[in-house]
Amino acid sequence: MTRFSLAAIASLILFFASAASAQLAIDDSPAAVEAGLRVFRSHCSRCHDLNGQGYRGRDLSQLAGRKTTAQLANVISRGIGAEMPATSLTPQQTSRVIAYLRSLGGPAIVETGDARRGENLFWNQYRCGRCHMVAGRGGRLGPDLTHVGAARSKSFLIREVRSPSDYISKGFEPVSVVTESGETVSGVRKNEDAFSLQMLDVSENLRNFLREEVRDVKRLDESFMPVYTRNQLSDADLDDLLRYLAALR
Amino acid sequence: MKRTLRFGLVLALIAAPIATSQNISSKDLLDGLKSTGRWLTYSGDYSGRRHSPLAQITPENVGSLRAEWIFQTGVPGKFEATPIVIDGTLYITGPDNHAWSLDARTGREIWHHRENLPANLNLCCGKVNRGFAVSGAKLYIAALDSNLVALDIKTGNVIGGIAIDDYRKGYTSTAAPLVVGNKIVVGTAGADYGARGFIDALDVNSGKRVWRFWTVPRPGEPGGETWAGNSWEHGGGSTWLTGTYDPELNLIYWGTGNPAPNLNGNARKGDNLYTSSLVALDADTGKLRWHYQFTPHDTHDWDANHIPVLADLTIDGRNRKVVMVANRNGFFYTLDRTTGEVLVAKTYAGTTWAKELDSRGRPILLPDNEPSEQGTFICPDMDGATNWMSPAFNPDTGLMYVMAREDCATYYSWAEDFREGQSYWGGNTTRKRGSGYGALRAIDPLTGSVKWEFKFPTPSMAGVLSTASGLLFTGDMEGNFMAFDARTGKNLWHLQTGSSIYAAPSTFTVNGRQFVVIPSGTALIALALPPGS
Ligand code: HEC
Ligand code: HEC
Repeated sequence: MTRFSLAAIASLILFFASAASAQLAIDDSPAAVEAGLRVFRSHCSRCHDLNGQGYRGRDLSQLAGRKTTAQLANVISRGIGAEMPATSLTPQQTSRVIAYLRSLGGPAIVETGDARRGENLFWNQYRCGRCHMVAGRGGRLGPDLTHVGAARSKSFLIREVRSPSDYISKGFEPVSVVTESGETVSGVRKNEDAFSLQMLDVSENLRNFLREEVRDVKRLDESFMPVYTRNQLSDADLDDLLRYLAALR
Repeated sequence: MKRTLRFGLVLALIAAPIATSQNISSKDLLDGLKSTGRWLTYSGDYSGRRHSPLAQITPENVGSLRAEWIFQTGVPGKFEATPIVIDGTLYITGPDNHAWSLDARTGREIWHHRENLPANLNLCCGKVNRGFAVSGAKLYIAALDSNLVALDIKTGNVIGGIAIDDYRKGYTSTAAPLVVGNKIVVGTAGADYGARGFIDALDVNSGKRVWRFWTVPRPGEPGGETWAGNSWEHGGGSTWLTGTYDPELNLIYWGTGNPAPNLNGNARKGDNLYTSSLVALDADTGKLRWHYQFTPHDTHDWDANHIPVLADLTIDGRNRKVVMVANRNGFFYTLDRTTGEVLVAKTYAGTTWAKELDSRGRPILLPDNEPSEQGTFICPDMDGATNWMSPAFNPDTGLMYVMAREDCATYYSWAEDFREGQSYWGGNTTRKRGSGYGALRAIDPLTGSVKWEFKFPTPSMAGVLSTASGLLFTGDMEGNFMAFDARTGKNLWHLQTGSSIYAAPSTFTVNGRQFVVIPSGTALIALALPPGS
């Protein structure tokens, strides 16, 4: 490529970059992707994992190809709800991080499993619904799963079922309180400070304690979400469950 | 001419009974907190102890402390400043280059200053500012765009400004300046962007630079040999927290930040002087008198941007002038402040990288203390065993009060090229959420041992205030503002303010009544005992 055309492209990119952030130009050269990886690692990796495969945040490797540049730029600048923060990346950094996201091929999620069977397993066989609501039906001890398919990566969902205590969702940390009368009350922690604790106990009662009125407060290591080993829940069943959960958006 | 003169006289006569002095001399600054109606520097006085002689609010009556007024700034962002207070009037900076003057008795606004900032600032940690410095009838703010701006104390009008350095190179300012004699001493942020750090002294009147101390020496200068190749050019070593001053020794004590890139030590082999250090500079010339490097060749972002606290202690039967630092790396240090000699060094929080120093004062490194491609689990985490939050020292109890953090992280590092104005970390960390906690700890500077602690569910970023009545005030991440017995650590009072606290409390009297103020959320809260009590 001649110098002239390189310069022309460069100025075009500049033009697009400056012509309102509505449409960013994406340079997908290896250098830009490499630069995007760096932006990603510094600004996004703590939630989307160091390689974008997602943990608490979504698995972005599967997603970037399906979104327009404007949609991605919008998410990056505004954030989503309470969990993905708005960022203040420059247009150039945004463009680079998008180039990086687009470059993530990775093995496609094999959409195996049967969602209808998964739904049945969820409600009837494993009775996940004892603790989780979907569209207003179900229990309260665990998080509402109505949109879980949109918010969580596949790897997150698998880990949540196989080893739930690896990551305990905010507002659902297991705690137990020993009251002055010696009674032990366990539940998930809604909030806590040095002087008080707000809990939803395992019988789904909201309980508000003052530290000075209780004997002890213990943080527990094990989530109230049960561990489902392969013996208890086969990989085939998990596939069906995942298909069902992924469809909850 | 005659008319104006007469007019001026009449005004002065009328104003006399309610006028407050708004002209601060070098002597006033040297007097520190002697005048109870004043709080004149970031830490209250040059010693950095954040210890007030006030004793109206006591362990016995603090239980009836209540809000006297609440000033709502309406400006979101972390509110980290300590106000300047002069005889009934308060001056405070807020996030995003806002500042206000308030009637300290009522919380009513007198003026509001705001200057727009450039859009493309390189900020690691929000559009924060930690406060004004005062000299004469001028207030000085080191603004985020690396400009030192002088405001007229009575109106907030801008009456001068000078560039400290170029924000496009990654330089930003967040710390309150320190006025020493006829100089304004300022630090800078920017190491996270590979900006080479410095401490500047500017003339109070002209704003002209009197001296600059580069925290990263060039090749050929002493310390230059501690940087491989040309890594010194982007070596970091920021100075983003106000230092302290010893008028007798005429030395300025200032902490320096992490080397850059933060987590990738391969890019800068050597000790990387004078990063993650304490430097003692001659106030007249800016010449380095001594330095002590807490974390040689730091690869954990453990800035030593702490308040160096000055005190005179008897150690092993000898009277020593000391400087005390609770460091982000997990060690508490008592150094001789004339020579820099290490007198005491002991961990006050969990560490896995080192547990003691060798006879030369260097940390004895433990295995697996380096960030890596695959990740290495290390304590403390990147935010450190404490951070920039002010500690306090009470000469009566002889204890340092430190906001400690207990958390660990998995540290990753990778190669990263330097680009001007781009973040230059060379790595990242992940933390297991919910694993950490915070604690207010009382540390004996003679031994480094922890005398008592009070725990918080999560690590706090709030500073500590001590008063002569034996009280401590501090805040936490959950939004509580609290009072403690300085001898026992017993909690005596708290108020849930509704927002995480990122500042340090301060105290002063208005018309003879003691006030305690604390920024929380978008508000400045002033507390006092009920009138007449
Ligand atoms: C504090 C954690 C956090 C950080 C930091 C973060 N994200 Fe996210 N991100 C999330 C979570 C959680 C979701 C899923 C939110 C939902 O759908 O409710 C998400 C979703 C997304 C999505 C999917 C949006 C969609 O349309 O479904 C994209 C794209 C994304 N993030 C990109 C980024 C990029 C790029 C960065 C860095 C500039 C970043 N994120 C930083 C937590 C984070
Ligand atoms: C006894 C109650 C209980 C049962 C039964 C239960 N869970 Fe949970 N679950 C929880 C709790 C509590 C949490 C939150 C704590 C945590 O993250 O481990 C949770 C978290 C989750 C999450 C993470 C949600 C998020 O957005 O963070 C998923 C997904 C989930 N559960 C799926 C399931 C599935 C699938 C089943 C059935 C196979 C199931 N749960 C059965 C209590 C339960």
